[in-house]
Amino acid sequence: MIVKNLKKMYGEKTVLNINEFSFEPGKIYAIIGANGSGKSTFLKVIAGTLKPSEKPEVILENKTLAYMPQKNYAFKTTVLKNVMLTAKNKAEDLNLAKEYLSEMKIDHLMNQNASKLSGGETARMALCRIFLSGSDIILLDEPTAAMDIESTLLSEALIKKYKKKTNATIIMVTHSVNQARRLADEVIFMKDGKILESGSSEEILNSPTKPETKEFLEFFSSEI
Amino acid sequence: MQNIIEKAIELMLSHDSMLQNIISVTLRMCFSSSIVALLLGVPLGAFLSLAKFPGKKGLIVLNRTLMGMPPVVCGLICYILFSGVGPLRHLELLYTVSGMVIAQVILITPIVAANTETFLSSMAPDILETTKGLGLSRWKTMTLTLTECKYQILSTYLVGFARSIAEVGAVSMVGGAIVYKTNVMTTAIMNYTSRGDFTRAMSLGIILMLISLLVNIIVHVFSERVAEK
Repeated sequence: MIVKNLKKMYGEKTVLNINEFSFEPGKIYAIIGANGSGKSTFLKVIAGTLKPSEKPEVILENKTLAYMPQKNYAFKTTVLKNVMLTAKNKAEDLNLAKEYLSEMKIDHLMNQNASKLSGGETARMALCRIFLSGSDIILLDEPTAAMDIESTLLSEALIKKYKKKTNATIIMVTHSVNQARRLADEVIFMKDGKILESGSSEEILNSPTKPETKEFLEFFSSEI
Repeated sequence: MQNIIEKAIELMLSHDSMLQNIISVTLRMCFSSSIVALLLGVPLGAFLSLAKFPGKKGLIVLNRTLMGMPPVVCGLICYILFSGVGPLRHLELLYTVSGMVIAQVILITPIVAANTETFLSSMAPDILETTKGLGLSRWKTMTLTLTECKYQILSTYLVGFARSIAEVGAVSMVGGAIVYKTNVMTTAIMNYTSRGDFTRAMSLGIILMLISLLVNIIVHVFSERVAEK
């Protein structure tokens, strides 16, 4: 996927300004950066849920795209029905949905009303839902922000498994440098709406070139 | 007072044809006007909430202003439109239940639209972000949104129904409170009171209060369910 001319302004303030960036298939990209650096806006503009200030170009090359927002909506029906919303073949996908729920350890909740789930459980259900869509490009906005450590590790395992199985491109926003270290093949560091530095996970997280990236990593590396 | 209430209850239990006719006309009018107002008000409220167009804020303010339109003003406008000198005189709506329903629809639709706009403005952004993110079709998004808001929609309908059944100004001007034709509970209470027939007025008052109580209980139960969800 190639994205070009992603711009978003609120009044005079530019919150996103990316000229061009390309994502390769079969890789997990972690977008890191401080609050207000434009990470979520980046995903929203690609997903089309936020209207950009200028017409962007998102070249998908016949690939399908799905986006999981930070605030996941749980429809007032069962957990299983929520997950099955993205099913293309009800009979075939039912088993896969149950498998995902089991891997996220919420299969015992599948017949419960999803609107009664906790924040972490809702996020786990939303991950199952987005992976059931079988999309080639998956955008995740802080998917584990509401989760405890166990759920975070389960989610990370599912993300890796999905990538391996489908060769999908997974682009995720995270506040955790250590999560980026555990999951990402590539890391994108953003500041003031721009991509300041990007490259392989090892390269960016171990030997960043920009002083802003170094400063950010020093400050946030102690977090889980 | 006690004597009047006792007689009123006796009258309610008897099969008084005039009383039955008043209740029947009232319910026919209220159900018709509240359903039509719901069918018009929900799409209008959804449009005001979800569509982006110039002058949207002005239209929302105008709708909220219309919510507070005095019923007698609405009655006057309808009277002029339907009367012998009005542009809609050929429809012969003056002093008919249909004319009363139209007047009530004008009064209730802004209330339904404003309620719909309010609850959709708080619920729709999260729903739409999720459905768009998942690549669901517009049809699926619409059905999901309507299902999510079913209790709010029903609650809005009941608010419209309550407004309709309690309304007197517009229906008396447009309907004329003609016995066995357009006399509804509120106009009949006024007429019986002015004639000194307090027993009949009180009977209708009790029935009206019972219906209002029932509507309010239903609204309350649904509001609780919405709060729980």
